[in-house]
Amino acid sequence: MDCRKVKELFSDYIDGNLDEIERKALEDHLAACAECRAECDSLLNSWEMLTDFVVPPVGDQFTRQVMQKINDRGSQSVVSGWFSRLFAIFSLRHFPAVPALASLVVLIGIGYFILSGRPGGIAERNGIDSARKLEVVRDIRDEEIIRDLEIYENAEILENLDLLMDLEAVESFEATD
Amino acid sequence: MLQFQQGDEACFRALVDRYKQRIYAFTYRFLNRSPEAEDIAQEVFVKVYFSRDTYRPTAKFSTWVYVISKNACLQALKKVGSNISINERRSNTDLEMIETIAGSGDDNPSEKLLNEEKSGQIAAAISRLPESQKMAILLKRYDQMSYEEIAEVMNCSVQSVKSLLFRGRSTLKEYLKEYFRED
Ligand SMILES: [Zn+2]
Repeated sequence: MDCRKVKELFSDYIDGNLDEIERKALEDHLAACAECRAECDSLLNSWEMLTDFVVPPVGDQFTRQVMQKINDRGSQSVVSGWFSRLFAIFSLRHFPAVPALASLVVLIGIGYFILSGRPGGIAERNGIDSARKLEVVRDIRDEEIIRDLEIYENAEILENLDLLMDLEAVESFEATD
Repeated sequence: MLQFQQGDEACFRALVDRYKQRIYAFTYRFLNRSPEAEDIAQEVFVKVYFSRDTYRPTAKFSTWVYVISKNACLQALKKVGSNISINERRSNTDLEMIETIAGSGDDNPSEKLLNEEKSGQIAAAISRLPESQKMAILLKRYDQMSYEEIAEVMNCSVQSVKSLLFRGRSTLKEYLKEYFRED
């Protein structure tokens, strides 16, 4: 590996993206070449130094102020219960280990709940078993429990729900630069 | 006059609580510690609320929030005209921060002031980077995003992300060299 190639790989090296063979070749070169070693050390040092850029905590009124701004601008709630649904789906993975079949029933129950938007109606129709499962869903609406919920960021599971797939076009995400 | 249901409001609040520090950290660093960074972070969540119907479930929710944050920061920069006007206001933040530190009753305020000085040096170095390099560096360094995630947030190719990181790192290395040599 020559110096030019080594330097090209520094970023991948720092980010841990090199495979075993490349990494070994690069480190062998660093051991033998003082110039590349010095440059690599500088890059690592400055990258490490960025850790010291501390950010103060957000104000304790942050969330309240966000809600106030939303309030002031008027809620144009087209799809009510949107965030509840997002949360219901995020929290699916948090259910305690249950047999796969039971999970499926819960999933179907939630799907039905989401689509119907009327939790009460389902319980009446489907009896006690469903009612118990719906309780899990209803609990999500309880603020205290919601605060403890871990939000799952990867919402791929949403893909399975037709309701949420049929959304309006995504806003323009083009980089403005 | 919130029209959304009680449960929905609670869920949204929980979401804000979950992401607020990360998003604020991003706007704070991107806008070079501007005192407006917190207000802009709040605007990000207002935007999330009002554009929730445009969220495409195939994207990671966090990626979507960062796209909105990126746009909010770039808009804020356009609004104030240039980095300079933001920099000018920075001294207020520094003062506030020092006051906070002094009043915090911490057992080692001098160490905190030293840390504050370090933050200032890093902030100054980062603020000298072109916007796109700065964005890539911040998302990689502080949000631990993969190249693919950064590419999605920045709406560019993975190759461009690599190139931005490469150039950004090389430049930062030069800007920060004098500081870590003292250590
Ligand atoms: Zn070399």
